[in-house]
Amino acid sequence: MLKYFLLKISVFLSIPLALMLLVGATFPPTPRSSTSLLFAKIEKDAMLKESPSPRLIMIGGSNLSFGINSQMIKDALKLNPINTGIHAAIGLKYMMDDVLDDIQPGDIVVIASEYQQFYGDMAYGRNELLRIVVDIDRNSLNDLNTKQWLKILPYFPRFSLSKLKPNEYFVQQSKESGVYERRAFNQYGDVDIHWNRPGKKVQPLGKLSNNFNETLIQEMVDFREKVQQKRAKLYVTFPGYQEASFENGKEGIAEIESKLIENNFILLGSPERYKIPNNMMYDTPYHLNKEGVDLRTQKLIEDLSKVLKKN
Amino acid sequence: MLFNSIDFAIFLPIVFILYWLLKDKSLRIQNILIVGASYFFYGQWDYRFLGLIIFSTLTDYLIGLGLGKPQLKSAKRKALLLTSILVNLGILGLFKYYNFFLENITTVFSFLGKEIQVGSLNIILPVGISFYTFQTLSYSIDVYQRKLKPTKDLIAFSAFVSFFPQLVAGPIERAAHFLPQFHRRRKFNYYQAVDGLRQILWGLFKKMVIADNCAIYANEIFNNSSNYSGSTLLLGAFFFTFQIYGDFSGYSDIAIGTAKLFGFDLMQNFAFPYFSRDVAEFWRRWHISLSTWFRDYLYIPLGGSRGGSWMKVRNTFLIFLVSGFWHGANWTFIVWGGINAIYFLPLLLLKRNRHNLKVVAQGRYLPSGKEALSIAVTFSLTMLAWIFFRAENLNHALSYLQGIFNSSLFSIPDFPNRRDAVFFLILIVYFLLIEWLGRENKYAIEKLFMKRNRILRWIYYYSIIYMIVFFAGQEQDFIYFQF
Repeated sequence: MLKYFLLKISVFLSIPLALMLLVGATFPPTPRSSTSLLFAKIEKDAMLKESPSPRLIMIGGSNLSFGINSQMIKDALKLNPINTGIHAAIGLKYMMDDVLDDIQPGDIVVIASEYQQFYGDMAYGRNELLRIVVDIDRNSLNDLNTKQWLKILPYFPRFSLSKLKPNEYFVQQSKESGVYERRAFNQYGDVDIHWNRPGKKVQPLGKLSNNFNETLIQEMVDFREKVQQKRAKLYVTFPGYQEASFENGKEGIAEIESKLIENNFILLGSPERYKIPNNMMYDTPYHLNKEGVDLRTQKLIEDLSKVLKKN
Repeated sequence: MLFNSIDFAIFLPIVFILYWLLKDKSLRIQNILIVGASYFFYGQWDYRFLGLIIFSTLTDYLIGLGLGKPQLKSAKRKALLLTSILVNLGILGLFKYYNFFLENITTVFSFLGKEIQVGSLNIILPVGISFYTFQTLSYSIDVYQRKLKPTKDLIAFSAFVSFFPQLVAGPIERAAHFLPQFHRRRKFNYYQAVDGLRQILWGLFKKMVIADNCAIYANEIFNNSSNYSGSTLLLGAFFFTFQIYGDFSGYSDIAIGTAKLFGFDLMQNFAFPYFSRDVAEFWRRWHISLSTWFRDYLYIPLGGSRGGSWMKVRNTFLIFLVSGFWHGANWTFIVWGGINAIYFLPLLLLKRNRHNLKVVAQGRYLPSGKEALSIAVTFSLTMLAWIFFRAENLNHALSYLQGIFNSSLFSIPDFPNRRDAVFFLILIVYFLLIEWLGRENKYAIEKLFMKRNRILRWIYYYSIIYMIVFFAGQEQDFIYFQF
């Protein structure tokens, strides 16, 4: 009876599973999903390959895409900025692994990660990582570790079946780009489309949860070694973060900072320094309006100048 | 490890296959596997608290053995029982209520003009503590009352305390019903296993589609209640009413279904409470394992509904207030319990509390007008009481209620993603329809389409899976884990 039960369950599950795999793996990205900000990775990958030296590669989530004015950096430091930030839910682990192959001697690499990446399993991605590795950059499937697989697999059914939704194929693009579209990025990888749009009232985020991800710190240490082997330099800075959210997450943020110091990372500024006034938010505690973007970028320029002069 | 997580989807089949592969070895090995799997399951939250479960298990196991000695004098038996009660409630008190009592004592002193300094404890509430301490406590009480012979098998007893499907949020099983199942040889039963899977599927639907979506709107409205009109606040309470039901009864369905896969029978925990015609019926159908626990171990020993009116009033209030307090160290839960006591008392005093014992509209498709009205009134009363359960504190609950009952109650509700919520309300109607059709069974889809051919049945199950995949809300912890 047990065998019969297992057989019947296998048949019952294999039908939707086969359908899911078939659709998910063989159907191309839908027209609607192709317009999303995740597809900006294609341009960003090209930048990583083609931008000339001296280069500044920034790694992080949307705190970077919605928080940096690369033109200011270029003008001030005479570096070619490459803003790889897209979405925090891709996970810091993948973000680091993904740029590694394209790092060149002399590159300056800066990690500016959302604080939440350091807690729980956020660093191993969500739905957004699945969409990237299946629809955009299938080669990177091999680079995923078990933790990442476990995080993205639950999203597979929904991802697959979304390719069967009729409304995914009928897209009318508006003239003006939305902020979460591929078109919203400029030539450096910054989202600049919202710079002349009014911000929204942003609810602050709460405390950071208490399960600090020690493994991520080790993964960052490993990444630093690989970067150094390529004769490039790695620095760590902090995201521009809404003041109210910063106050709520103060303890967790301090823990991140102390772990980074403990592991001898060269820090650009401090979390406190990158606390951004509440009125400079665009639509989330990490997404800044133009005023906030310029403020944060100016601070980063100052901090980078200091370490570059030293070294 | 959450039931609706990929970790559990991997864990469950592995344990299931190992468990049934061991069926020919020995019962003891199967029980050892249950204990090991359960400790692993629990340890995924926090391994440190495994020590508490083991401590609680050993305490009641040894007390049970002591109580079982035939020559033991009555005074010593009482002392042993008292030890069990003190240890279990002590653990609960320390981890769950210590800071609450401290805060209130400080407030009382401050009110009397004396400032006292007492250090609060920085402790985390261990998941499921309220459930397993009650389960082990019921064992000692049953053995003391000689309703049950104590077990000498420590492994079976450990499995009874820590059985992973119901460890963290019940149903709170009685030793007399559940413990003997660990002593019996289990044979794989195909129909029971399929029934278990069906119940898990329905539980996942309730949790992931109904509760997790309701949570989005309920959280938004409750967390920003001062910004919303009366009608929106009422809708927020409505969403929370379904969130808590979908969440907790969904969990119970998954727990009971999972237990069936392993050949165990857990008690029914919910019996379509929102179709109740009065509050007494609601409490016979809501969180049945807790209500009956309090009835058997608190209400009846206190005299129950025997004695004069004063006794009835006292006992009713006591059981509801304690039940409220069991849910959490916050005055909101106590007031929630008190409100339910107020709802219940008139029925008890007028001897109408056992009027609606049968399933509503049994054998009919539709309820009568009177039944429909009774259901609507009971639902509304319950919904208003849930406001206290969900609110951050009493002030929040009162201002929420004030916010509902004003002229804006008759405006059109307005909140973020209102259009999505309309679609979601349609899903709630679908959910209610299926629950109504299945209300004579132990769970809604137990016998749905059973007389139809397999293809139709499978299509229906696939449609539920489809809804879970497509319409699941953002993953939320089970509410009752915090209790």
